[in-house]
Amino acid sequence: METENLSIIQVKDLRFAYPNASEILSRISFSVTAGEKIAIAGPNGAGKTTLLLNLTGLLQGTGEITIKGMLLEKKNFPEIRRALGLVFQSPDDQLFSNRVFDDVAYGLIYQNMEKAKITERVRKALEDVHMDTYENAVPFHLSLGQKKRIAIATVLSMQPEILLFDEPTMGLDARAKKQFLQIVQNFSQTVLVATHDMKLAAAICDRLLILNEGRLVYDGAMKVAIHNPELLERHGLDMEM
Amino acid sequence: MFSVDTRVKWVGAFVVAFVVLSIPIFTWAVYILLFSILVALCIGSQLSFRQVLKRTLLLEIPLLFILIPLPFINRSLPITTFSILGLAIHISPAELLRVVVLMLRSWLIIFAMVLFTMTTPADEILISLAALGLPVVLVNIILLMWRYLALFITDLQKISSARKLRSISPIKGKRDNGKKFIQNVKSTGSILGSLFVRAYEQSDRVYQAMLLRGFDGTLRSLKNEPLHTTQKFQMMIVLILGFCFIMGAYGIYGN
Repeated sequence: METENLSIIQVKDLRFAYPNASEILSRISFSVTAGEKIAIAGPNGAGKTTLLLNLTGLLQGTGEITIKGMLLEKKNFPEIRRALGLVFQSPDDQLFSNRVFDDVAYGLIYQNMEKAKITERVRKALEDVHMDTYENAVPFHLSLGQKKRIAIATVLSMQPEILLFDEPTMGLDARAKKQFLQIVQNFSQTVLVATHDMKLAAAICDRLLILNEGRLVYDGAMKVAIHNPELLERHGLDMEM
Repeated sequence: MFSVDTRVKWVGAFVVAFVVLSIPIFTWAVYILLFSILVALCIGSQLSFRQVLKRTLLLEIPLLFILIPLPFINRSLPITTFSILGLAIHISPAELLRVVVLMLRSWLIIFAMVLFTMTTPADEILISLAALGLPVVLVNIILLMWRYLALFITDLQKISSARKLRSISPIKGKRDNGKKFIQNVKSTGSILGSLFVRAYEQSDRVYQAMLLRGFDGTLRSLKNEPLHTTQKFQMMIVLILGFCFIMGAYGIYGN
């Protein structure tokens, strides 16, 4: 009961299936305490992205999800979405303005914030991802690594308490991965990272959830899991990846 | 021009169009004055005059094709007849002059619009259109279409390159009985289909990203500010200038 009170995310018996398809998420239950950094790992098609989309309410399965004590339902969407930010797998899905500044400011404008406050928040978010000199750049002209950092800034500017990352290092080179790692390690927010990059997961997170074929097959300490190659291999994961 | 508010520029462009269309047709002095102002604005905005000219001509040429038959069809007197390769051609010089003036008038309006679009980012133009009453949904669609055009062109190039790498031309001189053409049509169809599916899927994801950041169907921008006194003053100056041009034109040239 005490854990439930402390938890910022509560998922109970979540099931989800796309129309005319088999179940993607099957009876998923877990809870997240504020400030925790959790990796959601699993092979391709395990349901990681679907789980994240369910946590934001963009997809709605059956079961119960509560975020900051609020039940995930339509009337709570504005409040919940203010508390939670999702960084999509492809930054091109997230960057749709002509200027980096406008993209980072997008969510703040919808919060009816004052112009001076918006500028301050945008600059802070860009500084946090080391992209402060790119305020006037055209997002489409940036490299993938830079786009990913801008995508993170678009979410950071809204100062959410929970950050969700969907395959954040997909397609990044070693340097860009390192930069991402440095950025995320400084976050004090609750972080959930969906990835199959176990090295990244181990570097950021203390807890690991493994999804396989829509089922939550492991929920425990990262340290234990990474020293259990058999467990990782059984679920299509590998520390060498 | 770059720093001028989009709404002021809209008013300016409309005033140019209104003046040009309202004044008597052979008001040369006003045309020259308007042209001088537009060129001055072009130079003041550090735009390449050649570039502006190119764009205006691009829009003007189709008009030329519409207007060019008029002096030959319209038989206003006097009529001049000349012959080319034994073919008698009748032309009305008065109509020809009218066509030249019509071209000049349309060119001035196009010049003003090109100047406006070259000094204003596309999204600002669209957002200001919403402020002028264009449905927000339509503006949103156009805005996203504009923003993602570059991305789809890149996608198209990728798919086309992949197709080129996998298509082998038949041996030179060997007849293929139109097989290559049919193959090209088929692959172009599948490229377009695949591009459509990609666009559809991406639009879905972009919409999701927008929803997560608070999008509620309304169009909001940092530029959606009420008009300041300076901008109101600028608009007033433009309107007064336009009024003076019309009055001056009628004063000098009468009806």
